[in-house]
Amino acid sequence: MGWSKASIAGVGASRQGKLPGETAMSLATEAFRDALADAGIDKSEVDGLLTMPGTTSPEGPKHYLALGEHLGIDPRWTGSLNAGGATAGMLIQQAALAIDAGMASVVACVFGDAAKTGGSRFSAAAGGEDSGSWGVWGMFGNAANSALGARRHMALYGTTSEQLGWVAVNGRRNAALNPAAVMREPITIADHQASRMIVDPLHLLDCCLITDGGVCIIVTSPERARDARKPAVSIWGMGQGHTLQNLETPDWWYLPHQADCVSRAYRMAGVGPKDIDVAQLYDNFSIAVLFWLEHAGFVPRGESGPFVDGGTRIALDGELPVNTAGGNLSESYMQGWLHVVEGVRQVRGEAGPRQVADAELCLVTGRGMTLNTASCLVLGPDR
Amino acid sequence: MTEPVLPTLTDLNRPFWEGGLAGELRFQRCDACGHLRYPISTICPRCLSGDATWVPVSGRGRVLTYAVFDRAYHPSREGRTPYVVAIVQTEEGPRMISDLVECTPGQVAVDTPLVATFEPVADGGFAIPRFRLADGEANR
Repeated sequence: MGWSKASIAGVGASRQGKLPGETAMSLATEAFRDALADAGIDKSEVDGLLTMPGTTSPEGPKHYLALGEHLGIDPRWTGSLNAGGATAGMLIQQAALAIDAGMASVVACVFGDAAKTGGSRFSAAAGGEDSGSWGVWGMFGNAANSALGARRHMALYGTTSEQLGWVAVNGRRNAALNPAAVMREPITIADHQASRMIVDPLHLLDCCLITDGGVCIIVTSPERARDARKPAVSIWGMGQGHTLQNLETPDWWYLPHQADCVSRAYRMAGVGPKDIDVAQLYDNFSIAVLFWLEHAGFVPRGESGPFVDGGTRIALDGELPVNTAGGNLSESYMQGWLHVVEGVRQVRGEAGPRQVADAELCLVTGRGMTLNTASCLVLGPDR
Repeated sequence: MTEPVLPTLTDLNRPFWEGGLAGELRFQRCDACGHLRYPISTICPRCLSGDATWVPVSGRGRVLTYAVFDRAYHPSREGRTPYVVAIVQTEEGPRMISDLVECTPGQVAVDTPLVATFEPVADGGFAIPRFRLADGEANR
């Protein structure tokens, strides 16, 4: 079904949260071990290594060199990439293409970061620290871009802060059913409204967590995945879209490349939004989920606010369960890597109390940088 | 109040920052295809020509969207909150990020008309373009 020329055979995660003494490297290692065990695949089979440097990884773009040495891997396919929250999807796509081309047989995609305890800064000037920096005009922090998008969405379509709050409440409700989630205490819309303003119109509870942790995804051929320990999850379709021109793009605020990204994956998978049973939508900020609902065709443009209002349609038993493990807002901020893990678990049917009944097809989206990169996967059963 | 963030002037960007001394908002116009561009670049992102001329624009624009900073996330903004940062849709086409000065957050909305204003830096070598509400807008 769909493209289905590569599969995910294993997913793994380290402990998540505030983990003093751990490093980006140690957390990536913990996740790598966990993913191999999940797949039932020995390290000796891993011949591809794709990595995303954490914000606390000192190696930067040479991260793959250090991780390969550390894990004892001499790969025939490797590299590092940082496109923020779009990276997990982009690396899995690189892995899938390499496998289909016969250039690798088992690719480990790995991320680790000690962002919580390692002193990461997420308040730098948007636009960089150089002479073109927007810091001159007071544009600081990762929330600013999303606040700009949220404000215009509110002005044009009547979207409200309370509607954004339902995204946060939904994530927390699902995280309560996820033993690995960092934030599991229930919250209400009143809590959301009372939480302090970070960049107006975004409250604290509209914002992702900052956490330590690592994640690893093992990508391999459909044939090899069928012999792995767990049910194979097939990559039916995948897509990317990027608005690298930022201000040169008239409607950059609306992130039109995200719609292109998802429609490309739907086409590859031979499916449409009505076929998707469960969605893991990248939620660096609550407003991101509203944009994705529109860009992925679940609702027409401007109608995502009413769709999430009340939180029933996006709930586990709703018409489109969203961020079933809690997402960046409540599970852990692994920059979208855990969204892939949860997508795999839902398709396998192993999500326990938060399992969506009869979930077959899962859309997983990611976005990053100045919200100008996007990637997505359509995951489904192998058959 | 602490020191503001200042740009680093280069041969490339100097006309932009010095334009403010003449009360002018200036953008680069591509000599080859005519595209008026911002951010500042050595080449035209449409046709890749490296030839461009700095031209003054009206300084008029509108709020495409905005965000309000109630807290300072950088020392340069301590004691200067709340403040508004907008994507400004200029009349001539390019979009800029800018803070909005001489106004309160409550006076700002999507589509509010704006006009550029210029804040000379201490040594007077250049001036930072920022936007304020167009005349009449502040009294709405």
